[in-house]
Amino acid sequence: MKDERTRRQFIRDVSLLSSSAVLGASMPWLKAMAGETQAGNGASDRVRLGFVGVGDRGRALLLNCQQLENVEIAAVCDNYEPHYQRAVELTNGKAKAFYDYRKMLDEADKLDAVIIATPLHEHAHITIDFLNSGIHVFCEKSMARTLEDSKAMTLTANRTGKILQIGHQRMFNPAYLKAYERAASGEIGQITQIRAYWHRNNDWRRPVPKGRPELERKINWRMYDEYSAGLMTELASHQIQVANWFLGETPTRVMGSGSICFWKDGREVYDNVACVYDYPKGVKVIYDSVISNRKYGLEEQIMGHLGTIEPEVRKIYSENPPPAPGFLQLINNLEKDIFETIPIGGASWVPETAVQYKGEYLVEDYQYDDTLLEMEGFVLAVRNGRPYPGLLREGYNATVAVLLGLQAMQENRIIEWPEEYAWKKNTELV
Amino acid sequence: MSDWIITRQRRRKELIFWGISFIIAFLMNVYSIARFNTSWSELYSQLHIVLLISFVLYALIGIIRLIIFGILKLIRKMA
Ligand SMILES: NC(=O)c1ccc[n+]([C@@H]2O[C@H](COP(=O)([O-])OP(=O)(O)OC[C@H]3O[C@@H](n4cnc5c(N)ncnc54)[C@H](O)[C@@H]3O)[C@@H](O)[C@H]2O)c1
Repeated sequence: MKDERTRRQFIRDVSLLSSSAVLGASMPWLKAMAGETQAGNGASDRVRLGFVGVGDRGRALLLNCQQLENVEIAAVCDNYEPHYQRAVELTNGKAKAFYDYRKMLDEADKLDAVIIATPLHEHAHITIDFLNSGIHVFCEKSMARTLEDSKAMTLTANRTGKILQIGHQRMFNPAYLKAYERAASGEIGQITQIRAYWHRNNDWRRPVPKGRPELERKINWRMYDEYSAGLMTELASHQIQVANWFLGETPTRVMGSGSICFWKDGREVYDNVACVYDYPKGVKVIYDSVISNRKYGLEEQIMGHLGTIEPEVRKIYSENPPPAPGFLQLINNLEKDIFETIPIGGASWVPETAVQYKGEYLVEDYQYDDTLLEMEGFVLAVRNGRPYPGLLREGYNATVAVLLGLQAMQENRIIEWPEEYAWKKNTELV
Repeated sequence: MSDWIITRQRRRKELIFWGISFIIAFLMNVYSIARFNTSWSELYSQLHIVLLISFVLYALIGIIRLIIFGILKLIRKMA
């Protein structure tokens, strides 16, 4: 990273976090990363990256990788002319540019790894082709549009021994890592429910160039069932990944309901979804997402019998908050006695509104960009030629869970996690 | 225009009044720790609040003193 301060701070934090027994055991990638950050960074360790899909996300990932030391952006590929041109400009014409990723495959010996940020339905076959050519792959979330494709990607990664990392950056976010550590230490007690939501207020549409209606499906691929599972694969997958990770389990079954409720503009994917995921031992994850109101934004409320964690706002709340200092309580009481109106008859019922405790920060305000940290992690893994244990499992399980959620909504029935898609130790899906 | 002179005596008097305010605020803190059963470390960790309250009390005492001073002056004038 060019920002040495960020880099040093990150390495220090990763080393500190990974030395924690809890984190080291349950997040092997962190431990591996801490070890590998000490590894050499010499010229021979130069990592040559290719990019397939330089749209919104691909561009952001490319800019991130340009900040990393000893990384060469050797090739870029996009089959949409404006984005192809943009990729060429971003790399000052230094990277070899392609319209067709298969041409890039022909020059695979000039690459160590590729970063795939194409639309969802284009993840699987591109990933599999590169893995089969001996190239490590970072593929954006979600893994694939179908369960079959997600499994095929996983099996190919296992068979080839190449790295396949899925873009769930929260596993590299210091606030989430700290949150995980505190949850695993028992501080919030037994987690019985996670309530997660992502609310936005926009139609999610992108403008299509005038006179080019044939580009509608390419540009607005998120709106079409063939290419995307809508809110589930685009937003929920991050949060269900967090839920799986914190619970250390995958759901046993899911029920759900979805509708096109507000944006009736010809889209095929739901703009309003709600799911309940059942986990072992009666634990529930309740998920909803809308794109017609943004008041509550996004959050994962991880609720235990002793406390709650809201990692998006970096906060932890105890069920029994520490009392305010005595003197402040005294002043508060005096203030109440003087200024509050006294009811004549006592209320028979007081509304049980939310507890007004402001909680405690999990980590100080920080400058981290978790996507940048995730890319740094991927490049380190490529340099060492080894995948981080556990990471692919997280990406796979999150994708299966959200695709099952969509299936439950579309078929209007409860869907059990199919045995053939279970990630088991010592099976083909290890 | 004549200069305002704050005599030594006056300064001592004001210091005593503020001292009294501080002691009252400090005792209030002791009372609240006992009453709300909080940590005795608040004796020093809450000193900033104690200090703040001591100034509030000093100001309140000042207002009372001004009122008394005004009344006495009025009585003296009428006598
Ligand atoms: N991790 C995150 O936080 C995050 C955030 C945003 C998007 N994403 C993911 O990134 C992926 C891309 O999303 P986006 O918003 O950048 O989409 P986008 O439409 O802006 O970009 C996709 C790009 O891929 C190109 N493309 C399509 N098919 C191709 C092919 N066969 N060969 C080469 N290029 C091809 C398109 O021309 C386009 O430029 C999605 O899977 C999305 O879910 C992840």
